Amino acid sequence: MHDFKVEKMENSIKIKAEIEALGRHYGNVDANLLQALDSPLMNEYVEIVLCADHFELVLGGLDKVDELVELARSQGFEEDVVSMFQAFAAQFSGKMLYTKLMPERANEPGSMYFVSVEPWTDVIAFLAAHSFSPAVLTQLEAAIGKSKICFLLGFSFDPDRGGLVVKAYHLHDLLAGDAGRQPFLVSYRFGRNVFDPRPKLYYAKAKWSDFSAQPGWTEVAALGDQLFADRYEMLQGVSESGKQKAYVFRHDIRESENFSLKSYNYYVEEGNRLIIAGFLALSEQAFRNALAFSPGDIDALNRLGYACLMQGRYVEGIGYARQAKAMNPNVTNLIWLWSNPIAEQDAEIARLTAEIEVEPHPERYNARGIYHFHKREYEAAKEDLLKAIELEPFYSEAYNNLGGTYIKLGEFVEAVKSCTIAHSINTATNGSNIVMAREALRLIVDSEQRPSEASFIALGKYYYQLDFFDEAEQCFLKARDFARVSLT
Amino acid sequence: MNYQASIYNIKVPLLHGKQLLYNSLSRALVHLDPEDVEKLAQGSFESGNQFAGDATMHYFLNQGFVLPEGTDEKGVVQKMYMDARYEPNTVNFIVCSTLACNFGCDYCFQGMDKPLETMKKNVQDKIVELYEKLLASRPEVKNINMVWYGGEPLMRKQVIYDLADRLIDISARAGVNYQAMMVSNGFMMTKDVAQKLFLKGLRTVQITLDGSEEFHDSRRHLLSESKKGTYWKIMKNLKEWIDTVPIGVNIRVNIDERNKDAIVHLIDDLVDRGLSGRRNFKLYFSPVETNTTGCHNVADQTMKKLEYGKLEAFLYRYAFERGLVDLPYPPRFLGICSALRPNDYIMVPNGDVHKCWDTVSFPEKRVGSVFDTDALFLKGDPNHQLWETFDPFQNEICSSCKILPNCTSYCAHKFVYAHDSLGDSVLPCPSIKYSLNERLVLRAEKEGFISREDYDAEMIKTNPYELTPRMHTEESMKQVRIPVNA
Repeated sequence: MHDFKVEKMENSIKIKAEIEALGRHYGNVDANLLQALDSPLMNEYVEIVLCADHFELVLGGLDKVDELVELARSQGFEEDVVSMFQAFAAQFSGKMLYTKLMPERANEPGSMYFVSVEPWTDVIAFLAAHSFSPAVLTQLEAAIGKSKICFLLGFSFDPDRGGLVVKAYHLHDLLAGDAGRQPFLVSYRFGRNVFDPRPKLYYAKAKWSDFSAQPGWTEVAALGDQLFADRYEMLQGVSESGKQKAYVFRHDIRESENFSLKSYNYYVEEGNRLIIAGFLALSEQAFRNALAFSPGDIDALNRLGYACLMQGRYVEGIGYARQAKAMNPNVTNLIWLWSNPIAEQDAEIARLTAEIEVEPHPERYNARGIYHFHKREYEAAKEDLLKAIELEPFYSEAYNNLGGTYIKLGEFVEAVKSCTIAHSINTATNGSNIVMAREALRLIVDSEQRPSEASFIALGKYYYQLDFFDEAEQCFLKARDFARVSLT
Repeated sequence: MNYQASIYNIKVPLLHGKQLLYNSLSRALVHLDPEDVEKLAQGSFESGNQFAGDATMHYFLNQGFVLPEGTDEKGVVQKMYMDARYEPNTVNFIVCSTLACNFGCDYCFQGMDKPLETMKKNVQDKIVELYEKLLASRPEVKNINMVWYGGEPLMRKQVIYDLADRLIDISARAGVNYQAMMVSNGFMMTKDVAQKLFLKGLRTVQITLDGSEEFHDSRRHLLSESKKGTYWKIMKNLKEWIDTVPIGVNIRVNIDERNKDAIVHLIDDLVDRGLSGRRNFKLYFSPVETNTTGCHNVADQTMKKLEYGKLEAFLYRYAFERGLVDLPYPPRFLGICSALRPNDYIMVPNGDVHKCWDTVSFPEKRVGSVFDTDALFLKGDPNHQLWETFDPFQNEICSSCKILPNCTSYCAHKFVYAHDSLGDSVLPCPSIKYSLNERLVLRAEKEGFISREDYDAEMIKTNPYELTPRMHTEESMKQVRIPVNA
């Protein structure tokens, strides 16, 4: 059995040991930081920031507003910082949040951050509502230029800038400028009435060797390499003055088979948000950046295909989607996630198989059919659902599930028939399967009886929606042929 | 503006000056106190006087009991009738898988010497072709009501299975809703058959039971020389699947002089067998009639219309109280049937196409053939034109009747082939004309608007002569059209 509690405990002990080692190197472990090591947030998210002369600790967590506020207050954060953090969290919930703790001798205030991924328009409106002057916000708009999405937003305190200071980040266009190493993130600082951006650049996939030649970094880089090697994703931050920081993403509770900070592609997130905000061309650019950031990123490729499709470049779009699917057959369309994977599918299938051997009950066959369906094993799903129906001839749910399976097998007539029986047995049966199957048939018949560019595009989009990428491509190619004919 | 009472108001007198008021056009039903009865009795109204601040008068107006003076109500009925008759979204597609039957009912309008012909594959193919052509040429069709008819359709089950599979596939592809009903004697509808038929789209079956076992078996026996009874087998079949197979069962009860007293025993027996109070098991009653030459032999056994109407009113109450019928309510446009709807067809095993259920055993009355669908769709056959041109509003007696919106000539066959009927069956009026008041009172009482103390059973009896200035007679029916090929 997998004991997450023990694993977390071991991890936090390791981190504490690493912090002690860093403390020994830098001279002493600051009392503020020591206090934070007892926080339950240590099990959520830990980032260690190494500088030439000190280190900082970032604790965080998904939507952990109350815990972070409590920690910040215990560290003596300014109330303006905390209240702004709370106000932003209230308006934009569900975010990844951080508190950066500074050693007392660093002479810098702590900060509280959000992964924002919100349109700048919304963020700027928020700031305007919290007494940031129009002049500052106008300068901010000029600085961010074409960027539409605020990626990170932080609050800290600086009496020299009038108190509250905001640090706002957006993703850098990797494809702009020269072909050398490009920063992926850029930040600006400003107060309520002072715009003093001091832009700072951040480089992803940093290595300790990137730091070792910097003044004052030789020993720190060697220690970092010794403690962390290349086990964790690391950013290199470079301020306008040339001062550098190494951000080690030490622990994230979300780390799993499906999520790793080491392979996390920030541009995909930005692209998704741009689509939602309706900026299709910019989203395409974001996905192209994502591929520059991580050339083999299947998700980025699939989404790039979607962005092209949405802009009416169907053949190009489906080409990208098919490339993604060639790399991972489980890639789905991005219109809906009909086939959301269910965790522990194999274990559930094994359990149900054992139970069926003891007693072949129709509900067990239906349940196993659903697991097979979600594993995209449609023939196996069909076999189980037919067996369920054989054992219980008026099992409406099994008929409806069989209808859904027929859709994924491309057998739309059978799907309609199966779903119709389900509805005749139980009128409360969910109607989405029969609607989908009927719409597919309608579009097929339409493209056969009234072939045109529009009818093939409509059918291609529908096939794409059903994850039939090959059929979708065929339709888009036919649509292109029609378009050429109509032009001539 | 001045107002007038609707010509379709039908009044049912209650005790203490009260009244039930029904309007056959709007289908509204209201219970009136004496003062409201008095208000309406004035017949014509001036807006300035009677309407100002009078909620009752406004209610009368909203429910169609009172209309602006000069409203052409018959014109409204005609417009609504035409809309319903030519409603384009629904088609009834009727196939007789065979005209043969295993029962030997003496009153069968199809006669005793039914053809045993099996529907051949080439006819089935042509039926499928007709179906495809119909859907392709009329994309507005969204609902197909398939009807399996006969003879006894289950004598040729495989024809039904094969055709259903093909028609369901075509319907699914065309985005058309398909559902089927069947007219069967129920003898061969075992659980296995019912299950299979359900999977092939069957949602309703009509089965006939003509009284308790003794009476049923005396007339609905097997055709074989044994003349063995069939009641036990029908009941055994029904009990086998009624709880598990979601097919609705409509029990048709044919009534004539011979079994009229046995119907209550049938109802009691169905209750005893646990078949009452179900959503998928209901009864309805129908008089035995001699509408075709096939059943003239029972002309002297049919009931007089008035007597049947009274019996039916009693039976509806009796069956409702025992959970075997829903509350009756006067329908709209009873007369719109497959014969009159432009895209409905009835196909028989040799490929002939008919419009009326009553003509399927009479090849000379066919309107076309599945082997020539182009001609069929053109509706050029003189027999086809008989139905196409039939118009209830051209019959003076029908069009002056107060229940015209309910009835619209009820059965076109009685007009188109008037000379085929015999005895009282010549008269076209439906039983509702003889039992309307009783049905309305039953509904009002069971829905709690009135109680048994509010009416006198004798006083409420329907008087058909009050519903029309002139009743149909054998003589008047002789005046209607004569078939072209008669």
